[in-house]
Amino acid sequence: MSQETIYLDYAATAPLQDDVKERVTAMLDVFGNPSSLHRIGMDAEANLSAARESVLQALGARQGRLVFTGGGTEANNLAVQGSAPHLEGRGRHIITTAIEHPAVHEPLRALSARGWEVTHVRPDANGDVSLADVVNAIRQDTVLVSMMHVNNETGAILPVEELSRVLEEYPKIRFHVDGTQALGKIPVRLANTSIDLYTVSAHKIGALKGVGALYVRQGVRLEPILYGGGQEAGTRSGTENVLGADAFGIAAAIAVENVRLDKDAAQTRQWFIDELEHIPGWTVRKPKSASPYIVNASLAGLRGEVIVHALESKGVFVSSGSACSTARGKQKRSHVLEAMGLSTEEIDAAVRFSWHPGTNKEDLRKALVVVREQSEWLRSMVGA
Amino acid sequence: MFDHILVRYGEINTKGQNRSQLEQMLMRNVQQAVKHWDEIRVRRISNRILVKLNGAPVDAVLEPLTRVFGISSLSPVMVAPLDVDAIVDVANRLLDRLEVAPRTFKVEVRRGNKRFPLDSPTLTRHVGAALLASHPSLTVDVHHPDAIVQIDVRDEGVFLYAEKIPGAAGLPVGMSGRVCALLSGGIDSPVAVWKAMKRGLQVDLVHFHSFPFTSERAQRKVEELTGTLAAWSTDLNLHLVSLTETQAAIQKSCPEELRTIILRRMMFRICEAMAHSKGWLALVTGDSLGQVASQTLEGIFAVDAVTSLSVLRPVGMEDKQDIIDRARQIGTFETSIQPYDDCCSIFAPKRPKTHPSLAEVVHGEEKLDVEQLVQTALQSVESKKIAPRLDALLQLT
Repeated sequence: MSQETIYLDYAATAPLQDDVKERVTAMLDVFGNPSSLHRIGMDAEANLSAARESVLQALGARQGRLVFTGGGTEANNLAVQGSAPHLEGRGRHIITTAIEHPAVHEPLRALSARGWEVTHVRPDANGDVSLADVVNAIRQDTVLVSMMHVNNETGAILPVEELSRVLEEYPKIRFHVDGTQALGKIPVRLANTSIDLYTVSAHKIGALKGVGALYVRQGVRLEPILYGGGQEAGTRSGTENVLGADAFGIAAAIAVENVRLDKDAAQTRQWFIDELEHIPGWTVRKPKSASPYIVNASLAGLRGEVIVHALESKGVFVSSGSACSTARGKQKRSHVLEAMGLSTEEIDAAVRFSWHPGTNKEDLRKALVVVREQSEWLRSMVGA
Repeated sequence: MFDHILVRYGEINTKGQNRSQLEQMLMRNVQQAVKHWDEIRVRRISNRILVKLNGAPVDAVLEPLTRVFGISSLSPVMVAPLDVDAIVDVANRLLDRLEVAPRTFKVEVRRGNKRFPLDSPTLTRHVGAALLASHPSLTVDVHHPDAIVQIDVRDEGVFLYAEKIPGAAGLPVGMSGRVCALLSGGIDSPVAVWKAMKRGLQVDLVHFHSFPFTSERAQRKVEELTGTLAAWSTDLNLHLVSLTETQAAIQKSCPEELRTIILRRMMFRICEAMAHSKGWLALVTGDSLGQVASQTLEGIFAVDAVTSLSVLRPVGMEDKQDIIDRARQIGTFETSIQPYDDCCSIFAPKRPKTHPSLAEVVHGEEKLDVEQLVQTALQSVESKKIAPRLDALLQLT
């Protein structure tokens, strides 16, 4: 493989940042158990606290706490399952969207099997979710809203900040936001919001896999989903992953800074879309409000996976559909694109280009050259 | 403690002329199967092969040997010195080691060593009586015993064995020549390969892919299947060939309902082009009559017409369920049913013609530059040697 590699699948996962790699290597000798009473334990605890502070700061949170988990999926499950027992006395209605990640969908489905009612707000054809639709879904017995900040497939930014202002009028409703695709891609400032729970994941911003966190607003009570030694203030038992948390803390600080510095991000995305639309056969999803680092598009007449392989053979790495839903062989159709009302053909032909603030425009340009070449070749193959 | 494994071979015995050559082949295959144990020695003793364990674990060694074609049965052997008391002692231990405790038994003695003081009937009675005395629940049944204690009095010592483990039967791989098999990754073709190997064929495998329309996972799956099949033979050659250009050309210039048949014809042509340099004498496919459109008699005829090689279809007359049962036994089934995104489907005709005439097919591929496509495919060939996948190897002690 002498050819250059252009990785455009940052929404799936990000490579370790260089600073994080160095830090992790240096931290390998910090082995203490934060619960130990001796100095070695306390050193580990100090690292853990610093990491907690760093992530809270990256989220722009002024108060509240952070619970480290074994990833974004666990944080989402903790938010949903851990809220249910504290809410059901006041009502059993939940509002979510039709485009959430399975890590939110599935725990909600489990609740609906236990008698909860879940309303799924649908996006429009561009992938945007309207604030009005969510507000209109509020009922007397609504106790939880769970909504993602940035959609992992289309990049659509959902109106979580606006909604949090509306929800200030509804003290009974708890508000959970899955921010997995937001941190390190768009500014996040929880202090200006009434968001109760916010999910983040470490590997999406160039730290380690198997590490995530749930921000918990002050005064919000959660029932644990893992019981044990009572770590993380009783919310998440299990000896803390000090190394993973530490790396997360470092990566979060860097990621937020990079977002701030990438002033041309929106412009670059627009340019990328324009270029892509100039290549015959491509149609692009264009949410009105979108992350500058995700572009979802289809090449008519082809299957997403074929496009992925054709591009990877030339060193460009993208994903088809949602990276997480390519279950072994059973290509589940993207529920996000289905909810937007796209045709089956268009859904099957969808690929996602996703990058991050550190991606340079030159690489995007090179990738577009490959896309053009391979598109022509693929289309000639299938007689398009 | 077992000292040897006695290997018997059945079918070979019926072949007069080439017998010594065949025995050599089986010897070599047995040696291959046990090559992971340096301490093992393999030698021939009158119509049998003796695997001397020298401390290697008997059960672990039996495992690969039960997959060597050409072996009719196997017996773990204990050796006793030429002394009656010692023979009784080992016979006792042999009985106690049987997995299922027998209720009835008999003793059979063969006395090749005529200098041994007791003759066969005397030794039989002596050992029988001793075993009855030490195992009160046992009775003798000379017609249908649960266990037969075989005592083979030889010059260098006495062999005792009571178990007869069935071998894989068939003929030693390699004695029937070398062929090429088309391995798709489905359920049928690995079974076809297995049956070909069982009849003594040395099989090279060809897998056609159409990257990027098929994924690399499909390729990994085929490598895994090859590894499983190699456990029944030895390292196998796998040739990966790209059909992408061919499929595109067929897509462009052939009638849709004939695409599958024409694609199969191209596969055969490519194999035939490789056959001479590889020494293949025939093609093996996993076709099973009537399973899919290209597997009707007309389809088969139209495809076979492009090659002068014999086409062998070992599962051609088998029911799907029987093929599946066999695949489970061989160990390929679980891999074969692994789904992966097979994007070939975009090339597949919606309604393939099930009974095409040869004239129709020939006419249908008129616009195809067959020569050039075969050359392009040949340039894409990637060859690998795949070693046996032996889960048993992990348990070596």
